[in-house]
Amino acid sequence: MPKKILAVEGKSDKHFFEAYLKGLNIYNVEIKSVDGKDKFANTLPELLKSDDLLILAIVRDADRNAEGAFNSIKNALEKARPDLPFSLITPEKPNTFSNGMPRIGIFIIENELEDLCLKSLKFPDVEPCIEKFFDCLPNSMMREIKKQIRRSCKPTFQQ
Amino acid sequence: MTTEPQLPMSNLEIENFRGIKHAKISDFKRVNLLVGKNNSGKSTVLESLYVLLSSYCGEIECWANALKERNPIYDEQYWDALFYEFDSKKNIIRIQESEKRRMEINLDGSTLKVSNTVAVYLIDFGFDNSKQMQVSRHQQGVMLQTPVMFLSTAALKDILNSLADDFDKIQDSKLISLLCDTVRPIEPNIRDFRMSSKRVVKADIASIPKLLPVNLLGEGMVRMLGMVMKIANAKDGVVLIDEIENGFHYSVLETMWKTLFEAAKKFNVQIFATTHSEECIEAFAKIECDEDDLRLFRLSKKEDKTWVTKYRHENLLAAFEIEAEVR
Repeated sequence: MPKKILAVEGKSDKHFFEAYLKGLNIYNVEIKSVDGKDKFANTLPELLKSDDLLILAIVRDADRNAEGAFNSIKNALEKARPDLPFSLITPEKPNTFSNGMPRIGIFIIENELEDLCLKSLKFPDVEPCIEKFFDCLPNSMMREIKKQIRRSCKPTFQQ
Repeated sequence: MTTEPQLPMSNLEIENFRGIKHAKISDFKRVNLLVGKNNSGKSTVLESLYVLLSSYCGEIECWANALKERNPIYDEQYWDALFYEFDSKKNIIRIQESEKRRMEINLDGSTLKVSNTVAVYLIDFGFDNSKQMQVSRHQQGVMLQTPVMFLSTAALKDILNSLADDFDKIQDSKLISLLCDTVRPIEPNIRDFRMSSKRVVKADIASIPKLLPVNLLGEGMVRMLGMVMKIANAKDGVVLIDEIENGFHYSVLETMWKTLFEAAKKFNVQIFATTHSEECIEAFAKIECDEDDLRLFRLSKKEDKTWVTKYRHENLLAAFEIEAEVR
């Protein structure tokens, strides 16, 4: 089976994309969390070596420097070149797939994934309401919510 | 400062040999692990190395006899299995390391002609009962002496059978104490090895008052000893080990690799091994080494091409962490 792999920064990104793809009825994508953006450099070359790789997509936050983020991913992929049995074609710019085989796409999210989620809401003015909602909550409740968010990022057996 | 000893093999190119139409592997290191699905060509790579190197040692008989052992009955298609797509008429087998070390195998009637840059061998199926192939050699140049040893997916009894002979050679080369040092991580109480007058190899173990025949040491230990003895006997050469994980419990695989790696360094031997076991690959990834001494190659077949993917040892653990499929 040809593989489609989506590499993301961390566990929470993985959970998000799992839920998102499930919502879109897409089930044939393997989502890999590299566990920290500094680990892209070591793990992407290894993912690129996967047997029968059809598509590799990488999603990364821009962290205020979209060009730098794109280039660091591209450089990490290029490190694998001498070890690969095919000629590697990395994309020239972010947010598109390259035409090689495997197809490779580097997707840079402006600011962070969380901002993109907010932006995608149908009503653009919803953000102040969300802020207000959180402001309105008593501190103890806020702590509990933060705890739950943290828990949701851990593997199931630890819950 | 000492210079790195040159390894016997750095590249290999194979054409039309068994299931491989064309394969090119570069950057061999001291210990090389080959992985890949069934029929991806791992064992053919080992066999290619074996034929190439033994043709330069003037010892192609061992390969020929192994072929006869595997298939003792001659018919007209006997040699076809060696050639890509079983086509001995169209295809010539070519195996080469460099311009200086290259060979060709082709079929001339019922005679297999093996030629390298210094010798030509003619191999005929032996019809007598000696179980030997008939090999004639015509030498035109100086042989390059790179010893090569092949441990095929050997049954334990084969290892035991050759143990006495292997031991003899090690004894002749005064390498017994080095052998003891090498197997000590597995059996810390080992003091010495001796051979009895009945040609039984015995171990002197500190806690046991009598010498112990090594076949009583347990399968893992015997296999380990068998491998280390082959390495000792291939000093400055190459050892090939097919399905290296055979006979080892997964919990000792790390010790196995560590011992083999140490033995390879001590005896200046280059190792090529194959495996199907993920645990064996993981244990390989965990070998501690400072230099760039280990490499993993995955072979895969895409239509009629053989693809070789290289994994650098320093990145292997990262590959395991992210659960990238290495095998």
